[in-house]
Amino acid sequence: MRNAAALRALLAALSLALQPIAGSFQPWASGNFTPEALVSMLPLLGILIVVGLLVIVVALASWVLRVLGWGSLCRSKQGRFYCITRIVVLAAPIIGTLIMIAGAVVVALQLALAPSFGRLLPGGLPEGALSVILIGSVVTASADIFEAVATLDLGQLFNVRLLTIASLVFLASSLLGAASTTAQQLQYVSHAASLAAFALLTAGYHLARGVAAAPPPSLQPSTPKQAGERA
Amino acid sequence: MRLREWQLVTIALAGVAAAAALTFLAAHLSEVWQPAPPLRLPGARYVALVRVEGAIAYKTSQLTLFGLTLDAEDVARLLDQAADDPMAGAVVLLVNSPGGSAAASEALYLKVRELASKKPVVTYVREYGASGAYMVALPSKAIIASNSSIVGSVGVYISILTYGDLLEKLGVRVHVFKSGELKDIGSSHREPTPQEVRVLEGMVEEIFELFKQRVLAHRSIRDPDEVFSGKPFTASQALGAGLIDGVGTLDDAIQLARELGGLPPDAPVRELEPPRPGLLQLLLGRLTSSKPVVPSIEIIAMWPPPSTQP
Repeated sequence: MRNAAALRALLAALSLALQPIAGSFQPWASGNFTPEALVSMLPLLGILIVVGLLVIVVALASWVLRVLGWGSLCRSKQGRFYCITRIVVLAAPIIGTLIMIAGAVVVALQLALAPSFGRLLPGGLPEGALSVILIGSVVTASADIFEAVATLDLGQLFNVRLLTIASLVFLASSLLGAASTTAQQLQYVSHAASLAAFALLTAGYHLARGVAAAPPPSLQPSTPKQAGERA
Repeated sequence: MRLREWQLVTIALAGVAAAAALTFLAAHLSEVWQPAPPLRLPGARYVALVRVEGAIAYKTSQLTLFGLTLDAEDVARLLDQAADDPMAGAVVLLVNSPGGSAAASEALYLKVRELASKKPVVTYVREYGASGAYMVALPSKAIIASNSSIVGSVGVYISILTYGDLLEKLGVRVHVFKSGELKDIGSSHREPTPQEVRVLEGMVEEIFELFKQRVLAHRSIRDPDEVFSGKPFTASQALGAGLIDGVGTLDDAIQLARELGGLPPDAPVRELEPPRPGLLQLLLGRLTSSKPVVPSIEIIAMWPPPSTQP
């Protein structure tokens, strides 16, 4: 869990760094598809592709670690909510991404069949298809929300205040992240909040790991005789 | 004190609901959900845009050796598509062409004339609307040119490159056995004879007469001598000469097309494009392509003349 949080902190830092570069593609958004505009974008596109591949690999690695982490917590029978969280973390990003892809395909088809001349973005997107994309974004974000709540519980379980605070920041950043899908103004804030949340989570999980070396309070035997009976 | 499971689930679900509400609210407030004219579903009447860009020629024309050309057959098919589609309320021809082969230009002229008899056609000249390209634009209801464009150059010519002297210097001789005196007219190996010059000039004159009649049929020309001298005109000069109807932008041409076609001011514009070759077609095309053998004489309605640079 700690390693997963560290990887996500790295991802958030990369996203913050890439924000200015993404803004360079504004000519495309204005419908300027001249050969000169395209050629001028090529170096940036190259950087984005390389960094994008790195982001995908790191994101996949952190996702696998999270699923495994919540899975082991589920198996430890600390609470059924961890099992629910494991399922949501596993399934929600997949389902959400598929929904967003479906929405994007619908948009592409509608644009191809009845295009407006010149500007493609922003504005002019078919509302129905946009709703589908937003639903996909919310479904994807639900994994983070469940994780934040589960982390809140973990913080209380291991009595690590930092983890509790981190979970609240994580929850806030998840809400911001979902809202920033369409609100470009929020993206900087969202990425910054994510970076803060994952940095706190990394530290919080690290502390919790130390606490967890001893059995958690709920499983500590009340008498040495009970400890012996368990063995 | 730890929260109970149902409390955790409730908080999580409330968080998801809050995320959904925030997301849709942000989308509603942001630019993304303040669309420019909303896209209309297929089924709404539109303005069809057809590009006439590059030298006008057929695929096997010698003009294809001189740079970017458009295939006249492809454009003709697009014009047919616009004519046959009842949802295409008006057509805008976006012309940026120096002209091309007289035959290909005439074929497109006839297509545009046929199209213009069915629905309003507005031509917009972007950079060049010269010679054969101008002929293509003639049947339009209105011709609008951009401020810096070149229009006109009404005329045709034949260009023959002879290198007989060079061959002689190199000691190369060409022997021709012909059935008739004019069989190898236009040969590059020698200078044209006076009789051949008369024949070629006659051909040019006849094609030019056709071009001239078409200009006079479609336009009110103020100074025919100046126009038919082959002179290229700037947009403002062309407006004064009666060659075009206005100087403006592509948006002006599209808006005019909407008005002439009885379409709403926000009717969408749909660019008609020839189908792109598939991967298999491209691969097979590369495997079988060879340099075409093209006739050395071609009547050209083009300004400026084609360059031999690659």
